[in-house]
Amino acid sequence: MYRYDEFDAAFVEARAAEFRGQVARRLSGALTEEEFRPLRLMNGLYLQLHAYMLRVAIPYGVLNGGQMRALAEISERYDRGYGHFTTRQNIQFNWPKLRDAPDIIDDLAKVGMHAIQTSGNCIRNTTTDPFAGVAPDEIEDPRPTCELIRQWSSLHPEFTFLGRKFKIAVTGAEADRAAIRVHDIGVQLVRNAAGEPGYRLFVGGGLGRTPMIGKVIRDFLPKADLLPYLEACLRIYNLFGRRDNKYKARIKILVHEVGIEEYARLVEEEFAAMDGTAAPDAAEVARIEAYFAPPAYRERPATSALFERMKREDAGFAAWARRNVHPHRVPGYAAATISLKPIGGAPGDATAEQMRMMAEVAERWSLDELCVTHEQNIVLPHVALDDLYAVWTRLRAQGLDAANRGLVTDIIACPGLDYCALATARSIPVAQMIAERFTDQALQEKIGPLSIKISGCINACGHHHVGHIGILGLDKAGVESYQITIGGDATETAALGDRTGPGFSYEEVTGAIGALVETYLERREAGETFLQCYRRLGMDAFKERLYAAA
Amino acid sequence: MAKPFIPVALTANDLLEGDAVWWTGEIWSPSLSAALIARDEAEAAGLSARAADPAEGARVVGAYLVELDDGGRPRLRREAIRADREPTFAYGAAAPLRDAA
Ligand code: SF4
Repeated sequence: MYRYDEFDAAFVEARAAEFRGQVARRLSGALTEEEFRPLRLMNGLYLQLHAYMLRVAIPYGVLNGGQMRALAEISERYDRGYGHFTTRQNIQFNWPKLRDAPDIIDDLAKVGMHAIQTSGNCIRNTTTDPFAGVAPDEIEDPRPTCELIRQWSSLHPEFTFLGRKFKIAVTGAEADRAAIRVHDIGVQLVRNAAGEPGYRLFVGGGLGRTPMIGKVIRDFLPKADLLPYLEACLRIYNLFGRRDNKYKARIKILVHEVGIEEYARLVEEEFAAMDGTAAPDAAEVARIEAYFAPPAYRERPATSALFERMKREDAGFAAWARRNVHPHRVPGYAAATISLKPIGGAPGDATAEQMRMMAEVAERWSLDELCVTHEQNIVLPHVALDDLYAVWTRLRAQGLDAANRGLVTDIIACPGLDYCALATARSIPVAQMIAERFTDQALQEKIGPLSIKISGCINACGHHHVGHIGILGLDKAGVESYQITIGGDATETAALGDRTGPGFSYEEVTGAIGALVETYLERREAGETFLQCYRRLGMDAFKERLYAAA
Repeated sequence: MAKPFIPVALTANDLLEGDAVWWTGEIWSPSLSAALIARDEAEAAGLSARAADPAEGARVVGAYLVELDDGGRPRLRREAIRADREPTFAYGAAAPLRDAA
């Protein structure tokens, strides 16, 4: 994985010192809150409902054990002993104090981490496939591209004050596990007819109050042209994107208003006029790629007698292996998902003890690597098949063994009204109620792949528009009301969910989800997933049951 | 007929700690039960003046008025959760994790 060079380390240290000075000036009264607010936000420090909140950047989700352990320590020393992993593959601490914030930033810098550009109208953390580098269907590892984008976008002078925040996601495979079509820019590694690697670019996707699926702007872009082309895309957005209305300031609105053809024409014109200085130096690209060279795998047989035996002997392990173990491109290895969705927990939360356990497991059995997923879980990317049972046993000791990856209880939920100052309704307790209804492992597996995504307001941090079932919490005259959508899809067959109709109260919403699932179970054809069933049957079949009691 | 006045209290977030605090008439307290409650327009104007006082900016952030019901609880769920100083579920190490059945 990428390691900071001297430049990165010096930059992060300088920024930590600068932030310490800014906090001191705020506390001395030299800065007003109005002056200080943009400075703290640039360092990831928000003020939420109950407390400050610090969002720490985890570039494309990748962490080593030492970094995970440092997060555990920060959560104990300065917070309430837990952290919340987010849909942007980052982590948030919900209870830090302003007076401790400079020390937290210093502690992060010691392990090559920071909170820069986790807020504000800049280019945010680039996200990617959590199986990057190990997925058998990958054309190429997308992480060198992510790192290139990270370096290019960090403190880019032209793009530090955009009209709105800007999110880029990259996938190295045709199967889209990074939701690239609902990002401002989506980058897909592809090969052209001559077999050369390059990129397909999508632009103008996004969720929030005006959800849109990204449109292809370039079917094939040679690899060397990526940064200049992204620069041209951003420049046109920066020039023509609206700044008069923050709800219309995202690139999706510009692309929608001028049309993809016109936007593409402007970008191509800008790109053609560029002098090449935006292109990265080949030596730097090679340096970055070297960091992502495959780790030292041992030669192993493609199957493991121990793994097979333990699946036979331990039903709990067998269920976990079915749901949370994924193919790896190297024989004898697997990637494993640590679900942060246990029944009774808050989606994406992990305690300090759990973080330490994950660090230990990664160091011992996953070549010191972990990846935070946009589904708010953690992936151990390189586990030998022989070691999976030992890994599971350790995880189990900390309640990290939920065998539900991709199932109905693997719910994405934003912090919602329990933490977030912008929320209109609670989301975590809704996720918990739904999970309670489907605790039966056999029932979960019978239902099969089903993504439920919940947002506590129209900002859609819980990606509800692209949940197979999406739930949006609103406020209707002081009462929480939950609008349900079905048919959303964040993958290569991306679609926005369709609204079922009137919303449901907090008390009703779990029953409503139950009605949708029952309809599916009754009407599905053999092998059909919830999404496929919805696409075949259409809304009416589901609506009928949903509103039958009303 | 004039609309009946809805009692209000002044809240903000503590600058150093970040937590929700309430103006008691003398200090900022973490407890809503200690808050000074304005029961008419004039008293509410007094609280608004306090909220706008730049000197308060050295102690708290984002002061605003919260409407209360007859029992002295915030009328809005958001404000009630904030006044309780905690999420509505057990979190962190207190989360009641259990296995799937
Ligand atoms: S979707 Fe709304 S409630 Fe949820 S985290 Fe985002 S801003 Fe907050």
